[in-house]
Amino acid sequence: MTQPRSSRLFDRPLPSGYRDELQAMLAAEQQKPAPRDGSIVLFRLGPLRLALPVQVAFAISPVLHVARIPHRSGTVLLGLVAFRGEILPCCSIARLLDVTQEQTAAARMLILQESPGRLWAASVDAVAGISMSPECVFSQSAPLAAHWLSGSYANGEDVYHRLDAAHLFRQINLATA
Amino acid sequence: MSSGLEDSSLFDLFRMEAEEQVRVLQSELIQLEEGAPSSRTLEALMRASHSLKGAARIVGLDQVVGLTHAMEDRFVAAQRGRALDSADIDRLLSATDWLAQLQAVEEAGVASWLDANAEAIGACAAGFEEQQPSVEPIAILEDPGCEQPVVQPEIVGEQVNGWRAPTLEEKPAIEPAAAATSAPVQLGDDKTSDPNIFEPQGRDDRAARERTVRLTADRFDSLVSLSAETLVAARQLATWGDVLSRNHRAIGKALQMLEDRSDSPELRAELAQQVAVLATQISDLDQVSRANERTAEHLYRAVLAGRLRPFSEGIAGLPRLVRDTSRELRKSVKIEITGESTRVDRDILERLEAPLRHLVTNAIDHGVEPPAQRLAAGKPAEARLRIHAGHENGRLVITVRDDGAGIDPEQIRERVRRRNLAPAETIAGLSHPELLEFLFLPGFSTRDTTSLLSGRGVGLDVVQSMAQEAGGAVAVTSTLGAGTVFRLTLPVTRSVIRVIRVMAGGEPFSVPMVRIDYLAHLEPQGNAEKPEAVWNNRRHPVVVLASILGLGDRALPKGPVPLLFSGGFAFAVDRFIDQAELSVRRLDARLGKIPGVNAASLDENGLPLLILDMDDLVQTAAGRPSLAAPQSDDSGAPRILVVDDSHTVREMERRLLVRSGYTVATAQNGQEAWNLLRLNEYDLLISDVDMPQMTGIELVTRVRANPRLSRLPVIILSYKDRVEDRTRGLEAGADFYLTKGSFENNSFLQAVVDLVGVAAQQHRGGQP
Repeated sequence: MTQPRSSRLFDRPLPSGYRDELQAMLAAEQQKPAPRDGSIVLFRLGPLRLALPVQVAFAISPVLHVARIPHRSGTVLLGLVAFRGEILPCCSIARLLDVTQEQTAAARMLILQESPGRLWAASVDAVAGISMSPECVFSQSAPLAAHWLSGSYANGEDVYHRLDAAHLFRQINLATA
Repeated sequence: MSSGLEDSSLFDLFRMEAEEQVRVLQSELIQLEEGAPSSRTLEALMRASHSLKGAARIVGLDQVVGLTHAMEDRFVAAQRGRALDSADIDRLLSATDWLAQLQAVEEAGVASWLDANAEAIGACAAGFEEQQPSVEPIAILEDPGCEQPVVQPEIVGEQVNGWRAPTLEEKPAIEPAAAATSAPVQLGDDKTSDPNIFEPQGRDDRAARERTVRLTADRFDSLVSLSAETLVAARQLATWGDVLSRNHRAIGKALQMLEDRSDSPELRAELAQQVAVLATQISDLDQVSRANERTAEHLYRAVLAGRLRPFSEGIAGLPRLVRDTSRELRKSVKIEITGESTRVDRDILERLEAPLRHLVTNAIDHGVEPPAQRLAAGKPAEARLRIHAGHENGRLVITVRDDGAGIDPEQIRERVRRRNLAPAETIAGLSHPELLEFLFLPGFSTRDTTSLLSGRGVGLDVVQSMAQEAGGAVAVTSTLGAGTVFRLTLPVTRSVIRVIRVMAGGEPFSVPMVRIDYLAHLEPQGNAEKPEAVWNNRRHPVVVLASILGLGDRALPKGPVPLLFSGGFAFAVDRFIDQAELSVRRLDARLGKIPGVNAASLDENGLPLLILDMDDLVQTAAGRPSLAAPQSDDSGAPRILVVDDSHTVREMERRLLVRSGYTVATAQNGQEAWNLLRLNEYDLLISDVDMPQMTGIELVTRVRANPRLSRLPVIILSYKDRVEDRTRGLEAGADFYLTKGSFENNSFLQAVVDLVGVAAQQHRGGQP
């Protein structure tokens, strides 16, 4: 009885240098995959290209009418907006980040969720989209102080900087309480 | 849709159940004391204590399990014929007090609260146990309708913290109330006299109550928001229908022109058909949209009506209060409540409890005479205290009426004279109703001595404040020797109010109708500095609403201007828009109290609209705002002006400084601070940077440019923490630049001490 063809294939002698080649391959240091984060919303604010996790950037809306609040509106707190039947405080991230009014266009509104049921509206110039599991990149030219940011991402030729959500909300609360 | 309760902790759920069952226990116990015990009352009491015991066991509140078990035992014994006497009722009410107290404890503090009170709760429960017969035969009964053996819980039970709790599934055997024998009676022997408490209830008064579902307040508010949004969407649909109709007419015209130039009969027919189809579709859309709008309107009103609760829910504690207070004062008082099913807004109901409690206590303490005195006056020894709620002309009216001694107007007159509250000739001419008005003054009391209950002059002003805050009023009438009536008039709901919409400073605002005295287009008189408008033969100072709201200084235009009269002032607006009915939304708590603003709403287009607080605006117009100069202070402590548009930061700084002995005044923005600085003397200015109207940098720059203020020490406290921000602040003239992000009490206070020194004495200069 002859051996099956498959056994003959597996039992054949190793090609010369195969063992060394395999050893070298296994010994080689694996290149670590670049760190990736959860989905982020990319948006523009004047000259800044910024990002926020989708859990924080709760919704994107057309520009909403802002009702001024006596004695309060004018700085970071712009006023009140109505979103899905709720009245929300509207704040200016631009003013918080010292982006001058001339540099901004306020074409969209981000509805930010600080915690469940605690929403803020904030105007932005444009929403560039949502990036799924974006790859972190190293950026030497961060446009803001380090404590504002928690990472940078490449999106095409542009680099977007993720705002540190905890710091952002802390500053919004300080400036508007 | 969920109720929102899934987010509640088990303790929250226990708390809700306890609230309901304690209400049942207290009201039934009071009824029990007033009349002969009925099997229905005892059954309700046992059911309530049993339910509470089960709930307490689930959340592991052993002490409460023991207490409710002891209560349940006592009710079972009462059902067997061992009557509840007055001491028993006292003990049982004390037990419900523990349960009520526990409801108020935060979940995190429950364990320590129970530890602290375990002994007292145990003693309360042991009080019932001491009353139990020492030995009773063990009886395990076979319930024909139940697979489990039924165990008499008071007989077979494990010891829970010193007293018994049943170990088996509790199905206490119940004897007919009339049967005073200790022999156990099998359940189901006589269903008519002894119904199984675990069976669904029959036609008793509980079943007659409304079926209710629990819904958290947040979830309910969310329903209101969504229904309002539905209404807005429905109205927008109707608007689009109108637009389509206009387009249809325009297309029809254009087609007519095309038709005139066309020789093709087929084309004409086709065009005519398409226009007809479009017209039909628009008509259909119109019908659907109108039906949709009606439904949305009904939905909105139905949801809003859900905020209305029966008056009885807000007064559950009053019978108990009357019982305890009259007993303490050795008086005999019977309370009669009518109109219990009157619908009252949930918010108003919550706020009614304290004023009503005060009025009731007041009536018993001040109004009702001791029994002997009543008999001598030809009255029954037992006084009547009647509380009635009802709707009158779209308002909620609550009266608290006693048949006591009434209020002596001459006693009030004498008190007014002694306290020098008005000129002597005015006091002499005061009418009876005018004299009664003095009762609502803070600190005014007709009593020379104080007691635990009254005579401290605290209370009636609180009743009045509550009524006014809720958009209502309180009035008192009294007949000497016959009794006193307090009449609270309140809106039925705070959820929907009628308003006048006005434009001020280019922004729309709404003013509650109940706060408007008069509207008119009048030309202000007098000089430009102090314009006045005359209405009702009275001169009213004219105030520009936009200016007082901080929306910019606006000069009055020449000629007649729209004026809104309220609280003795004429508020000039850009224009009156219309009147409307708005659903009231509370302002976001993150915003704190906004001067001059009471609440918010959405208009018919879904845009936010602020509802003005006219009382606050009148106060501001009269020169009594926070802007007013600080009260004179002769303590010698350094005076500090704190400026920040964040009320949280402002208050935090104020408390910190006051606690350290400084005298503190506050302002909300640079402009307000600048006004105060020009009017008063301060030793230190502490300012934020980003503020409306005038920034901190602008303020500091002005201070440094002013010869009198140029040497005033200044601290900037800002959330801006970049080097350039610091530089900007220091270059403007600040002595210190501190950041809120790295705020520390000690470094803040050290900076203050460095600039103005230590305050000589602690805790001076105001309330922390």
